[in-house]
Amino acid sequence: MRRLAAFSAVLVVVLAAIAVPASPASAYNLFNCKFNAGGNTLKWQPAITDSSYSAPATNAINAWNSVSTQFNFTQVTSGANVRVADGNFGTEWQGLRFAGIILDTSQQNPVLHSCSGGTWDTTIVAWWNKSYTNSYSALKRQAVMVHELGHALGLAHSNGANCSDGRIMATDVVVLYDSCGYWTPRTDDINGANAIY
Amino acid sequence: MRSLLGYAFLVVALFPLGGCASAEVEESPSRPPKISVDRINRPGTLADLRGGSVAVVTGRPVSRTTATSHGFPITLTTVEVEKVIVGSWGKKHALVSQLGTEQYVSEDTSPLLQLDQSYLLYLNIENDPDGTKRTVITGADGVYKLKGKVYEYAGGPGSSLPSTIELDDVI
Repeated sequence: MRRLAAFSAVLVVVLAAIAVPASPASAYNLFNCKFNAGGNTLKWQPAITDSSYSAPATNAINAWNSVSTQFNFTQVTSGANVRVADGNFGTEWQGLRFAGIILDTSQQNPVLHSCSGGTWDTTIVAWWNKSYTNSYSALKRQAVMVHELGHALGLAHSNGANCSDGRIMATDVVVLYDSCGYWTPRTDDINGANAIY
Repeated sequence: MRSLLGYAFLVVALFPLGGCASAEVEESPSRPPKISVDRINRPGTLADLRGGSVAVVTGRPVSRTTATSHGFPITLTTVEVEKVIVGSWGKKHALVSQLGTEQYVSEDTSPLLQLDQSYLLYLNIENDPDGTKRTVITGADGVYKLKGKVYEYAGGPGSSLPSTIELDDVI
């Protein structure tokens, strides 16, 4: 009987651990596609046409490198996992206004066209849309690229967009920058990245 | 022993609960890919919507087809225009382009227009660099669905637009 009681006590603890999520506020979402990172070293390459974007590109990469994850971006001149680029996509497309986007090397949606077996099968290009970002400060451009790099890593948009939610992967990164002062990965974003790599 | 078996069953039964508790993280490998798009400068008021529209109309979708735009799946819905509330719309129909399809859902923009529902639509015209013109829902949010005597917001999630409006609010 005593053994059964002890077993019950242990079981209650185990069940509690199973039923309660590690982070109740967790809200990251995943694309189910990631870089095939050998040794978790990710290769990045700047593909910048306007030199005023060079520092925000490097700073966005460094922002991901400086948080606690299992991967590290290293700059290369060819064979990159991800390229960081500035382009002009106009002010609207399908009614949407966006400051950044990730595409594959054929300028298509990589989630639909360049994901095989859970990994990207081409270089992912993380773009600024200069139609908007040309008027942004360097730090705001960095915020946009940190968000796009999050997509390239495999993070979809997270739930919630309030400052208290603490994530840069919400749908409108510009609101997060303007209202919350976010320009680096936040706790939920880091948790999401650590769930992938 | 029977109790132990009961506990064992409970443990097995509760394992899926652990998964449900973190169900916000979409990890199912069989899940059809969703389209996730960034959004900035969203219209926050009816005045924003109206200011960005060439016309505001009421109408009913009568047919749909799918296509691709820049590698993204889109749905083209033919809407029978019933009434022009604001602006000018010289045609009886509007071919409204929306991001996503039934198969590839665009989770950040307005849900696809449904056949045989009545809508209030804020419409805008976009020009592709190749000269193609298309009709879009203003800000990907300017859509309300008729429910009873009022129109209910039917745009993308997380909008600050009013949840219900009447036609008088549009003018």
